[in-house]
Amino acid sequence: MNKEILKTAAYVDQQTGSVDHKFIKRVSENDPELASEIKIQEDMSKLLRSSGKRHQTDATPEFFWSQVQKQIAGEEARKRNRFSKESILRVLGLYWAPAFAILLVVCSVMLLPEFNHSQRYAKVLDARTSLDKVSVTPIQSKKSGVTVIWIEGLDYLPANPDILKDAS
Amino acid sequence: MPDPSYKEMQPDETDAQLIAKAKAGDQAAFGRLVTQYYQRVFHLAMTIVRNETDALDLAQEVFVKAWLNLAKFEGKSAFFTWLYRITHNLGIDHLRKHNRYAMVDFDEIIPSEESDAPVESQLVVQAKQTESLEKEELRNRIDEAMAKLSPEHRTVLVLREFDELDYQEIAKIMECSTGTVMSRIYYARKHLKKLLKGVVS
Amino acid sequence: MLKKFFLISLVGLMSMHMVHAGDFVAQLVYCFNEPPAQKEDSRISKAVMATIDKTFGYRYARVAQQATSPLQKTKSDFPPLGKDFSLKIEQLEHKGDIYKLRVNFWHKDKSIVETVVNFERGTPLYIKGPLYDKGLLLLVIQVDDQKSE
Repeated sequence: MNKEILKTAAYVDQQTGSVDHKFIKRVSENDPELASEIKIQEDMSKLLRSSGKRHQTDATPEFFWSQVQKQIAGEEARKRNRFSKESILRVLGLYWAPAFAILLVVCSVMLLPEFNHSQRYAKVLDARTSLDKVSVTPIQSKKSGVTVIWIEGLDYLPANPDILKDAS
Repeated sequence: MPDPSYKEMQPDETDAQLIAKAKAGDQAAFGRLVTQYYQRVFHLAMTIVRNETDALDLAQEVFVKAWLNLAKFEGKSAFFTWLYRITHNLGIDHLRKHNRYAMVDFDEIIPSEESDAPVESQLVVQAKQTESLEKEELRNRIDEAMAKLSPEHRTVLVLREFDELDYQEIAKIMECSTGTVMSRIYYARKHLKKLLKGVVS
Repeated sequence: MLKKFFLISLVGLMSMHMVHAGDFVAQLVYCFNEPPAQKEDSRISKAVMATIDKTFGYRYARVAQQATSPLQKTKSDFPPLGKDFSLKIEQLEHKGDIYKLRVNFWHKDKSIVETVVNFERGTPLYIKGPLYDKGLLLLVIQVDDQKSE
């Protein structure tokens, strides 16, 4: 992805530095693609500002505040109850903690073989594209075992029976 | 029974003054902040969760959380920035709980973009010509298209186009870099343009 | 009792690591949100479906094209995924359960992405394809757990 194209949003929103701003302005005068990207950004911004829907709730200020107050009162009551419960548990913990610790150690030793295997996931070493305006980003989560090559900028494909025909 | 004292507004009372009073335990002062910002918070909540009932609950939850954590608000950013950040975080949590959000923690490379929403059928979009659309209908079409964007794209557009926040403020609210804000806005507008093809020339 | 438990676990773990040839499986999956007329596609595993939902945000999916081929030591043309999509696979290295492969994903005459990946048997790689119709095309590829014929 051409960095200048990505910056057209910031250019339209006047969020670029003055150097970038002048550079993009100068380049766009001779680059129809860049000029077209700027136009898209400007058009969508103007459209949202002039015709975008601002959602409002019918709840009156009094009603809304009364509901918030009730919830605050509930939360504060819960906090007070939790505090007294915690004091009781603290005392019990002094007696039961050693017993639980021993039980935990025994369980871990017994179950260790079951969990002693490596995290399984596909690991991307390299990913690239030669297509213009397309970006390729490999992303990975060891926690969930999901590996994705995230591609942005591909053209939309309309419905096509050749694509959805099931393989035999 | 609602506390009527929230209506007794001092005309020149600033957010900072109200917050100081609220921190000292003045719930009525907090109430004045609530009534001042609740519609904006609701709008952002609605942007994220796209359901009025859930958005109203969420908006209330935002203010409850704000009250309970008021001591943590240091005043380094604007109060509404802090409220918006709470709204954004609670909104995303809500979507995650209802399995409507990509909840994988990408711990090696962070993608610059969220998943694209499906494109509306061209047949439905082309059913009416742009020029003949009434303004309200146009608003609805835009809203429908916004609904098809990812939550992050919707949020970033709303914060920029409706609240007119600069990229740094948006970055604070969404807890990301200004670079990420810039690329999200870029892709969000591009995607919106695609979704509104045939509706807007 | 504990001894038996350990012995059985050991045998189980060892058999899991027995080396056998791998098949490369590719599914071109159409992901969408409108409820489908037909039942769930049983060719999509629950794990893949969960990823389609949580990572990509789509509730439903159908296998548009599927192909399987035994891994060869040399570069090979994978069976085509319909008329428009194809894969080229090259096995670079193989150690135990890890297969280092170069994968090239093509749409008609254009290479969308070329990638080098360490595949562990049974763990898929997802390649986000183009928006298609009312949803998304997703390529799901992996070295299968099962023995080749």
